Amino acid sequence: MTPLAGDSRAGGQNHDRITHDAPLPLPNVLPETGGGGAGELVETTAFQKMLSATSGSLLTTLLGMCLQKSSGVVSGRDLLTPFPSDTTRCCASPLAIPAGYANWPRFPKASGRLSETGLYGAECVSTPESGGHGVLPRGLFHE
Amino acid sequence: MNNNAEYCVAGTRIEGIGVPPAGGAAECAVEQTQQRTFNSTLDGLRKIARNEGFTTLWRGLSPTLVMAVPANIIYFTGYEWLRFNSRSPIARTFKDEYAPLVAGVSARILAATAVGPIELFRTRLQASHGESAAGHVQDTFRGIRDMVGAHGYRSLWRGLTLTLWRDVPFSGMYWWGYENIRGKLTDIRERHRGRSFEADVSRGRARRRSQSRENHTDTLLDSFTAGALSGALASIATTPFDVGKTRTQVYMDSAKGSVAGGGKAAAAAAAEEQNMVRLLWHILKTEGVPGLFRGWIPRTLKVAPACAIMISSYEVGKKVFKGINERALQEKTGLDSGRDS
Repeated sequence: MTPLAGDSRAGGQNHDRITHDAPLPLPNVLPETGGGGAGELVETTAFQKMLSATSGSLLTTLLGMCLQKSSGVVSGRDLLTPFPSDTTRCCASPLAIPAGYANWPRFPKASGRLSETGLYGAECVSTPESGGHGVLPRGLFHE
Repeated sequence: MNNNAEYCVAGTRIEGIGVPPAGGAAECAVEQTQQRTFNSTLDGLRKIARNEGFTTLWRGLSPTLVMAVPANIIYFTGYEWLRFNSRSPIARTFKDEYAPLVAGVSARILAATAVGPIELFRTRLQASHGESAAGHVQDTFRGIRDMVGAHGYRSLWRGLTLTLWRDVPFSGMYWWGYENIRGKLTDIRERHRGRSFEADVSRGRARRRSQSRENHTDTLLDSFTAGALSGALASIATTPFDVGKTRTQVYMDSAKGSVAGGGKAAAAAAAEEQNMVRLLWHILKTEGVPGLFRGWIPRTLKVAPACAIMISSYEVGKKVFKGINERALQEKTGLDSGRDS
């Protein structure tokens, strides 16, 4: 018999469990998933749960990075005056880096290209523990 | 395009390398400006992908994944165990109404504490200087080693308090809201099918049993909706803590420079040095309620979809694996019964 009301401790991973010795709380309910055999147990293992969490995390991070990078570049587009290495492509005099942004964090492969100005939105904030330098403009603070 | 040439090719390709023709300099400058001018997020995505390569959109992904993936694994699986496992002290102590809140808070504390040093490493790596990737990593490790030597191992968790101030209330509210909203959606679905749960305390078990029998589409829709709504509400409610965290971080960053003398600036600077509660009280007194909820719209627009995607992926993933396990069990049972006969 199913434990009576009041026993709220039962549950947990058991909510994935189908036990045929327990009466269904819902009349006229047929199991939608196949499961024959007395006493069979169907569980999701801890490793499978980790894989599920990993896939969700990857998907969320990939989508988030893509959108944050683009929105971060759009937010800071007024500050995207070309860095010297870009302006020498076709201009005689390199433009100065805007004051206050000379020490923005740059990624290892920085080569003056747009996506490496550090404007990755939330990913590039220099927090106190980083010993970071420079403060990003509003709208780009780390979440 | 993906033009990696060092010089802008304004003229013919034969003249591409070297100083471009004078007349082409202006056209070249126009082209460069157009490439850097983004009119919208989609326009930015398109131009970055076209000019610098599609994979550029995910540059910097590695350090983010190193932190985000373990954090979410610990967070979600930790919540599952704390909430539902019969051996969990929370499942044994708290009723179904409060267990999600307590389990969410506990799971978040565990996850944040576990990945605190990784986040510190990632942030320093992004801020480091070096000529190569290996140089950045070495520089970062050296900096962390020096910091630990000067301040002890506790410095590896610097900034954790601020993070917990924001994330712990969020997690508690989020999971409490998620389970309630998903339960309500399950009730609606069951009523739509002409069924109803018995009105007793085991409603939680009945809901979970019904959810375990849902198909993949229903699971995806219900978990996505519940995750989005709960994430949005929790995000709005915890915006003041996010404002306090951000202001404290900005203040600590800029405090290295000179402090403007006197009056309001000094008072504001002093507020950021206090604890979170006093800082929020200061913001409320000086800027009112709007000051506490500044930036709630973009934060909610970011957090709600992220929560929805994460929880729905997790729930659908579990259901897929459950189906695989059931089929494997059926095959095993069929083989066993065939062998016995």
